[in-house]
Amino acid sequence: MTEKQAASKPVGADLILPVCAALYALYYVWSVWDFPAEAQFSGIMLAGLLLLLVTIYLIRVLRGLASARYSMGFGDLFGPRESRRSRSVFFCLMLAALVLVPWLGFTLTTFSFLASSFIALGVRPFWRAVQIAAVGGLVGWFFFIFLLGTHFPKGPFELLVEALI
Amino acid sequence: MEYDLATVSGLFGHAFSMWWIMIPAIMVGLVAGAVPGFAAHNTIIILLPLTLALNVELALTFMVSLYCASHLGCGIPAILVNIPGTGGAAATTLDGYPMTKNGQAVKALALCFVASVLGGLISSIVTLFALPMLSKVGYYIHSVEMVVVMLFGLALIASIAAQDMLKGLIAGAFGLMLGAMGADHIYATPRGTFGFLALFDGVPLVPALIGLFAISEALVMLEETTLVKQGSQSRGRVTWRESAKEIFHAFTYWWQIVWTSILGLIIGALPGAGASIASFVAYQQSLFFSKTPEKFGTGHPQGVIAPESANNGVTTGTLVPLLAIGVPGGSTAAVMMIVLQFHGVPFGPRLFVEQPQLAYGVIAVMAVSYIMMIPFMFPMVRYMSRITVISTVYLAPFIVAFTLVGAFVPRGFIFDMGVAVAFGVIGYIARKTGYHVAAILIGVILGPLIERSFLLAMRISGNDPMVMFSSTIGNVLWVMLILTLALPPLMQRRRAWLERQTSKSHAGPDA
Amino acid sequence: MKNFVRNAGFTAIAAMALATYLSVPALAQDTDYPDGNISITIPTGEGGGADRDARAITKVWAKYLERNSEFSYYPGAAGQVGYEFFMKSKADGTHLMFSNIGPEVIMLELQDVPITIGEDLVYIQKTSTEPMAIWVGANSKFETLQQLIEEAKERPVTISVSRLPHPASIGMLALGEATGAEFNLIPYGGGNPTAMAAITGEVDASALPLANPITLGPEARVLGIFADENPVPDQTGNAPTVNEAAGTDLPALTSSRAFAVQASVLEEYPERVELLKKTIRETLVDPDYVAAVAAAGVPVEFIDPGDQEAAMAEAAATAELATKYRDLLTGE
Repeated sequence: MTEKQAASKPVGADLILPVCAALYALYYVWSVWDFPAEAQFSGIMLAGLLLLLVTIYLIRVLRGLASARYSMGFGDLFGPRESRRSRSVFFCLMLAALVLVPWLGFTLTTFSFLASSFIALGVRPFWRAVQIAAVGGLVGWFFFIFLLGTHFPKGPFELLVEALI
Repeated sequence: MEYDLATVSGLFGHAFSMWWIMIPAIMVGLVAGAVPGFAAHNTIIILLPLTLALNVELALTFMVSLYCASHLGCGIPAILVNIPGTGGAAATTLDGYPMTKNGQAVKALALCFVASVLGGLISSIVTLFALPMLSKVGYYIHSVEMVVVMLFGLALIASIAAQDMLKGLIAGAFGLMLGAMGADHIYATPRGTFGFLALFDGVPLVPALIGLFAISEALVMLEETTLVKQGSQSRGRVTWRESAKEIFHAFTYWWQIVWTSILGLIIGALPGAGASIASFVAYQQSLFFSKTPEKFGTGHPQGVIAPESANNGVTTGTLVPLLAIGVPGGSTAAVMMIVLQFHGVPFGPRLFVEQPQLAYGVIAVMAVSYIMMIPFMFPMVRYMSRITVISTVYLAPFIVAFTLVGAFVPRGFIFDMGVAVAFGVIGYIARKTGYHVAAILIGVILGPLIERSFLLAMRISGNDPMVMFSSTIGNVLWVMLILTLALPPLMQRRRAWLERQTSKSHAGPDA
Repeated sequence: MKNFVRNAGFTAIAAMALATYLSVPALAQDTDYPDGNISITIPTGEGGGADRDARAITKVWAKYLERNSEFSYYPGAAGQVGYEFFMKSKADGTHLMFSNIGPEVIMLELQDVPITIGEDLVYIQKTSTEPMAIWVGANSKFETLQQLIEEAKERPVTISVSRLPHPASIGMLALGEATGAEFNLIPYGGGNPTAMAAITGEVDASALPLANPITLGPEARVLGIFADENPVPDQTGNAPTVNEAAGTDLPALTSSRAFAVQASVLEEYPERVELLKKTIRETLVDPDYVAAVAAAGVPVEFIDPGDQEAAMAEAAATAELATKYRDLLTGE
C-alpha cells in the first residue's frame, strides 16, 4: 500500500445516502408529473434543491477521487470486523420478527426475538438468555397487551391467556 | 375571574386534593412518554374508556397530569440511549446523549427534569394569569407567520450540520423530501408513496423517529460493549447526595429555563404547532444567544435545558385555544375536547362563564402536577442513569423489541414496524457516514407542516408569492430569522479578526 | 433470589410452549353474535365531529348490543385510507364504519379509489343529518350573507372548508356560479382547523356542516344554511337559508352520518345486519342518546334514523353532484 492510498479517505459509503435521496427525488417528481400545480410545487422545489446539493457533493467526491484524497472504499460502514457476523445475524432476526409477528403474536415473537438475539450476540449460558427473554416477553405482554390493550396480532399465547381468564 | 389570594389558593388547594388521581396519572405519563409511540395522546385514547367513566373534573385532571408527565418522560430515553420518546424530545438527544457518553448521565437527567418541571410550572402559572392575552396569539399568527416560525426550526439543520455543511444540508433536504410523501393538502392526491396505502397519510412520524434513532442506535451500540465511553468517570452507582447536588445545580440555569419555557408556551398556544417545533426553535435560539455556541452538540447543559423546558412550556400552551376559543389546537387537546363533550361540559369562552372553577382549575392542576413531579426527580436521577452500565448485548435487543411495539401502536399497522426498520437502515448508514439523523428527522417533521402552511398562505393570497412578506409580524420574524442565520458566522469572523489583532499587538512589542 | 428468577423464567417458558402447542381453531368457535367488542373505523381524525358523534351513540348503543366499541381513526387522503383499510377488515359484521356520507361519497367519486358504493360497501343505517352552512367568526365585519356575496363580487372572498371534496365546498362553488361572486376555497383538512381559521380571521368566512358553528356558540355567526328551511332557528340566531338570502335556487346540501358494512356482510350475515340496524334504531330514540347529543352541543333535530334505502339514495344523489363539479374540485 502506498502512502498516498493509505491517506485517502474512503467515501464509497458516504455516497449511499445522497444517491438514494436523489433516486427518491426523481421517483417523486415522476409520481407527481400529471398532478395539479399545487400538489407538485413543494415536491418539485425540494427535489430540485436536493438534486443540486447531491450534484455539488458528487463534484466534491469526483475532485477528491481525481486528486487521490478520496477512495471508493466502504470504510467503517459495517463496524468492527470481529462482531460483524453477530450483528448481521441480529439484523436478520429483526427482519424475521417482522415476518413472524402476524402468526406468533406479540408475546411469542418478542420472546423468540429476544432469546435468539441474546444468543447470537454471545450471551452465555443459554438458559440465561432464554430466561431473560421470557421475563422480557411476559413483562411486555403484561404492559402492552394486558394493561394497555393494544391491538397487536394475537398469537397462540394471547389466545390461550384469553381462554384462561 | 378576579384573582385574589383566596381564589388562587382555593384553586391550588382543590388541585392538591386530587393527588390520588394525579399520582397514578403521573406514573403512567412518565412511562408513556419514555416509550416511543405511546406519547400522551395515544395513551389518552387507549385509556379513554377509563376517563369517560370518571366524572369530568377527575377525567380532566387525570389526562392533564398524564400529559404533563409524558412531556417530562420523553426526555429520559433521549438522554440515556439516544432515543427520543416523542418528536418533542428529538432536540434533547443532540446534547443529552453526548453527556451520557461522556459519563454525565446523572447531570443530564437532572438538567432535563429540572428544566421540565420548572418550565412547566412557570408556563402554567403564566397561563393562569395571562390566558386572555395568550388566546390572542392565534389571531395574529396565521399561515404566513407559521411558515417563518417553522423556518426557525428548520434553521437548526444548518446549526447542527456545522461540521460538514453540505452533508448536513443533504440530510435535511432528504428529510424534507421524505416528509413531502403522501396525499397533498389541497387535492389529496398521493405523491411518492410507492403505491403503499399506509403511506398516503405521509411518512408516519413515530416509526420514522423510532427507526432513525432507536433501531439505528441499537445497531451502532453493538459495536461497543457499553454505552459510556471507555475512560470516562461514570460509575453505575450514584448516591442520593450526588443526585440532589446535580438537581440543585441545575437550578442555576433558571433564566434560560424561564425564557425557553415561555417561548414554548407561545408556540404551544398557536393552533397546529406543537412540542417538536417548540423544542427545535428553543434549541436553535439558545444556540444563537449562547456565549459558547461551539459547545452545543458536544454535551452542553444548555442544549438539554432548551428543548426540555420548551416542550413542557407547550403543555399549557396547547390547552389555550381549547379553553379560550373552543377549538383544540392539537391532537391531545382534541381528545380532551371529546371528553368534555361526552360529559356535556361546554368549552371555549362558555366554560369560563359557566364553570370558571373547572376552566382555571385545569391550569392549576397542570401547575400542581409539575409540583408533584418534584419528588419523582430524585429517585429517577439516582436510579435511571444505571441503564447506561447495562451491556449493549442486552440493551440492543430490548430496544428493538419494545420500540417496534411503539412503531405499531399509533396506527396499528404491522407495515409501520417495517417502516421503522427501513428508517433504521437509513439512520444506520447516516450515522456511519457522517449525516446527522436529527437533520433528517427535522426535515421529516417540519416538511409537511411547512408545506401545509405555505400552500394555505399561497392559496389565500391567490398564489401571490409576495404574501410571504405581507404581514408586519411576519416581516419582523423574517428579519429575526435572517439575523439568526447571518450573525453567527459574522460574529465568528469578527472574533477571529479580534483574536488576530490581539495576538498581533501582543506579538508586536516583543518582535 | 437467583433461584426465584430461574423458576419464574422456566414457568414463563413452559406457559409459552404450552400456548404454542394448543391449536387456535379450538378457541375460535362461533358463539352468539357479537361475541366481542365492535370495531369501528372512523375515516377522519380523533377529536373531530365524527369521533364526537360516534362516542355519543356507542355509549347508549352498548345497552342494546351488550357490547362495547373500539375505535380506529384513519384520516389520510380525505378518508380514502380509512375506506380502503375498512374494506380489508374482517367482513362478518364485527367491523363497522362510521361514515360521513356527503364528503366521503364525493371523495370516492373524485379520487382513484377501488371501492364502489353499493357493490363493495353499503350504508346500512343513518344516525344524523345536517345541512351545510356559511358562517363567520364573531369579530367578522360580515353581518349578512348578502354583504359577503356583494364583497365577493368585488374581490375573491376566502372561505375555509374542511376539504375540497365536501358538500359545503360544492355549495360555495354553486353559490358563486349562481350569483357571480368569487369564492376562494381554502381546505384546512378537518373541522377544527377550518373553524379556527374563520374565528381568528385568517379567512373571511367558513363553510362547514351546521353542527360546527352551533357547537362554537357565541364565537360563530351563521349567515346562511344550504337547506329548504332552517331546521334550528333558535340555535342559529334565526339565520336564513342561502336561497332566501341570495335569491338563488340551489339544491339542499346535507350530509348524513351513517354506519356502513362491507357489501358481502349483507349477503353472508343478513341476520347480523338486521340486529345492527334494529339496535341502532332503538338507540336513536333512546332518551339517554337524545340527552347525550344535546350535551355535546349538537341540536337534537339533527338525529335522523334514516334506513338503508334513504342512506343509499343520499349517496347516489351526492355522487351525482360530485360528477357535476368534478373539474372545480380536482384542479384538473
